Amino acid sequence: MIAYRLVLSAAFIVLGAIVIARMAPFGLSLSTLPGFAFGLALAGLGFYRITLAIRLYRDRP
Amino acid sequence: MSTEKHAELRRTVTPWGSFSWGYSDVGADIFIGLGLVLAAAAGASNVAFLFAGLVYVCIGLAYTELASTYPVAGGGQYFVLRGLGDIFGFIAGWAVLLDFTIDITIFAWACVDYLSQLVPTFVNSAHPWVHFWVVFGLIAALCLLNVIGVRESTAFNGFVSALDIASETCILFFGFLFAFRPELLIHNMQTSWPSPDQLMLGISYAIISFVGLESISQAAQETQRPASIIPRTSVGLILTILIFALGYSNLALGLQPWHPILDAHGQAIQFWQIFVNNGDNQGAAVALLAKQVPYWGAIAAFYVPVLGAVLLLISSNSGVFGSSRIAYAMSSSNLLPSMFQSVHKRFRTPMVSLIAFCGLAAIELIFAAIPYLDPHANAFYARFFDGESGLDFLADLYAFGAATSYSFVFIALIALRLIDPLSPRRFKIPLNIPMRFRGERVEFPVVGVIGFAGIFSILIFTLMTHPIGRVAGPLWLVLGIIMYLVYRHHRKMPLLHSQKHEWRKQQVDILRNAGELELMDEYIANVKASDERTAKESVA
Repeated sequence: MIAYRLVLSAAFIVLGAIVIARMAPFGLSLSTLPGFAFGLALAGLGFYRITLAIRLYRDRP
Repeated sequence: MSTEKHAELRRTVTPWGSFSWGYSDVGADIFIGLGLVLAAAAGASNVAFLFAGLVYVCIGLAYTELASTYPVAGGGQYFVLRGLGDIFGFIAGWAVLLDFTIDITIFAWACVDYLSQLVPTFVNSAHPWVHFWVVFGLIAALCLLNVIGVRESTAFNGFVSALDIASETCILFFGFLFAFRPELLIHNMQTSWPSPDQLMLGISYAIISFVGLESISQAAQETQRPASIIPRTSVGLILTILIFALGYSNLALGLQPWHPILDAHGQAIQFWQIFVNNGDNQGAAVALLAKQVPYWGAIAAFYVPVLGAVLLLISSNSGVFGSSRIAYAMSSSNLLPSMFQSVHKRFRTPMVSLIAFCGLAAIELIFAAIPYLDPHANAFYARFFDGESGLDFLADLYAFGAATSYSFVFIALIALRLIDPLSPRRFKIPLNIPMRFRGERVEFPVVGVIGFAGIFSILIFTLMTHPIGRVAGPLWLVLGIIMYLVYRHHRKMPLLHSQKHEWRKQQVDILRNAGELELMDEYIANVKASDERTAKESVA
């Protein structure tokens, strides 16, 4: 389960980076705001899940 | 019956079980919300999801705090009962019940819509009677399964949730890698921005993509050490659901389809335009999007309709199960007649509740489907309800019920922070203003006010833009309040005031049953200190 979490979390981070990188050339405006929000949230969730997975790994019996 | 009334639920749900329980309920919402929002909000669909998503984050945090502080299965109804009193507890619970009965119908309906991607006989516009009877059959079957006591296991929930998260991540991954054109997204947002009315309609549909947070409190009742586990799983759940909603809406607007999409006149159209005035497509949005993702779409076209249908069926089942459980909890608190507590002698399930609410779901199905089945009814709906039918009809009421109950939950959150500061809160929503209230130090939740403003505005949008929601929703509440007053009068109980509740004793019992013994000791110490302080002040 921890391996599954790590792979999924890495996918989230990569996907977030792809979205941000592709939106970046268009600058920050109302039209690009939802895209940036999505990319940042995606990368944030990826990091959050990785920290959780590491904590679970450390706390395992 | 009496033994059932006092029976405790076993606390066997693991952190992953708790997450997947919530995910299988809330995660299915995007399968119906996406098509409806794209049809209503067009080029601003991603903005509609962003607005509703931010409100949803506030709602999710509120439920996380309340469910970890009061880990009982009553959910929103219990929090409002405790914070605002009996009558408001009833109204919130009654609105939740409306949502649960709609939940049964809308997910069964969408389940058949997803299957229609593989079985053309199920297409509603082509075979409305077949579609109607299949949905009806699903509702009847779920009712029967729940009466005889069969429930999908937590392990099965977990398996489907894991499969769905992996699948949705793949769809987004391949979609953003190979089919997403940021310039197309910006073009669509600039050229297809909706009117203010359509944007409000889109936002009110977007909130239905985030309904089902009652499952957080239902999971809390069956999770060991919920005060520690629930915040951890809830934050992950909230972010995951938010990301999928934002991801799909951005992808749908900026999608360069794998195969050209043509309208009836052979003209190429944008992907999101296939949902406008097309109920069949709205009901199967995620499957249609997955099909247009390069490479992955080749296999997604076959498995996404099936996976979506299974997830939607689980959600429909959670409506059947949840409505009977909420009715049971409301009946235990003397908000509904005691017949809703009666259990079947052999199967030991709440048969009366199950049949009553599945019957209601079937009636809602008839109202939603009749315009497709009868031309006269179609003309009537076109004249009085802007022609809303099918998913639109159900989503109207779903949005009304959700916005109403969530509004009350925010008020309850603020009230409980003020009147019950002694209950230990392992998880607390950030951004609080310390102050004193009735001699106690309390923390006023700023996010509660922001969340209330957001959800209340969505309730106003719903009343302004949903022709069925603004009639049938308030009518449901008025009928419920009349029934409540008649019942309380019959039982010689206070009508508008609350009966006496032993909240302190209840809180100790709740924490003890949850295995939160440290929190229980902390609560008892807080109560003792508060009583001593009050006694000293009264002597002085």
